[in-house]
Amino acid sequence: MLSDAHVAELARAARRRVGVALDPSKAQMYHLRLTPIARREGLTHPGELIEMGLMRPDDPAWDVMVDALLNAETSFFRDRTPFDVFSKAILPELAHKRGESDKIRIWSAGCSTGQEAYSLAMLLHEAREEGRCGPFEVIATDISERLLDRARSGAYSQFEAQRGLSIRRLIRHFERAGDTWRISDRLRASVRFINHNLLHDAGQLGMFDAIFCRNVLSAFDAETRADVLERLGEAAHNDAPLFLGADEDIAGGMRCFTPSRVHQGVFTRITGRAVAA
Amino acid sequence: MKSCLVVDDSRVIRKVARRILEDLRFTIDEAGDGLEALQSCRKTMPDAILLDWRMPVMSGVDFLKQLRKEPGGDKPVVVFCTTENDVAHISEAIKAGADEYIMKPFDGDILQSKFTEVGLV
Repeated sequence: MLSDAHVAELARAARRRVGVALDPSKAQMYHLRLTPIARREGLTHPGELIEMGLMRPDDPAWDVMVDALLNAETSFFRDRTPFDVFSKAILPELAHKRGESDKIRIWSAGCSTGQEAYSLAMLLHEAREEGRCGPFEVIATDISERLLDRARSGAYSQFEAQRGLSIRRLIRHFERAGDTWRISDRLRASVRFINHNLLHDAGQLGMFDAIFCRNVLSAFDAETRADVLERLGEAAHNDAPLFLGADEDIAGGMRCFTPSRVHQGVFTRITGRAVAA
Repeated sequence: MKSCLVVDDSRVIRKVARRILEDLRFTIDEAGDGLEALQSCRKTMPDAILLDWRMPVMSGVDFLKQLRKEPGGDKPVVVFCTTENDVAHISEAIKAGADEYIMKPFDGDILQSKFTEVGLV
């Protein structure tokens, strides 16, 4: 088991590099996740990995360690309701506003292995085929290159492919490839996966008509959450909806977003409010 | 409470499915093949049917085709639960009247997710 001192060093590294607040009560889980990395380095205990890192503060091994501790839990159409709200209440208005000439731009922030981004792409593709919306683009970002690589591959195990996905959508948007199910090339082409730290300026990503940042903010402390919400606000068009996880709110981000009066878990970018300092 | 008929020739699978579905507040009946399932449905039509494909006496897909012709046979929501995991089988099941499809092996999350998808949970 990792010592308290080791967990404290890990927490410091996670906070400094990605702004994530580690939970000391999960020391055993961190131990398990770091053990294979320690073994690859020829070490017997993950504590030794941390000791080594302490001697070289800029060692890329820290990035590998922090990456292994990030929560990657996700599934297609996770929690369903946000996707229903987007498809039925938000998209018709966006489609009307953007028409056929302007792309609807959606950001899946903290996309992990890509299921949320591909779920959005499925909804938008289906709407496009039915003439309910014009061109669109989904930008999906994460700080972990390991998770982004998986997301870009578009390949999911049978277990992953069945979680949250109806069978009709599975055979419409996926192809079977050996033991895995692979997202169709057409769907994959509509999602761009980019490495991005939510603590950094998102200017290079452009402006968005809707942002999904679900089950991400809860990993941050209050101060970092407020920073991230400011960044998201800078990237959102006026009135753009921000979708958060079921247990998340915008405490600290009230300067740029306000809770939707109609939809729980949805927050609206405050019109005309410049959020940049 | 909603009712579900679990149709599978494996007693183990029936037991696993029963436990998961009882947790989801379903009352459960069981059948070991398609013919037994058809007889059960003729007595009482369930709200849902969890259906294996390959079974002795009558296969899942033959049962489903017959079920949909029975009086009230359009009512049950039918979810296949099978090792047949290629697109051709899935398409055949949908054409025969299946509402959802689970590829084995499965777990409680997948079963719940599929039942939610068709409005049973």
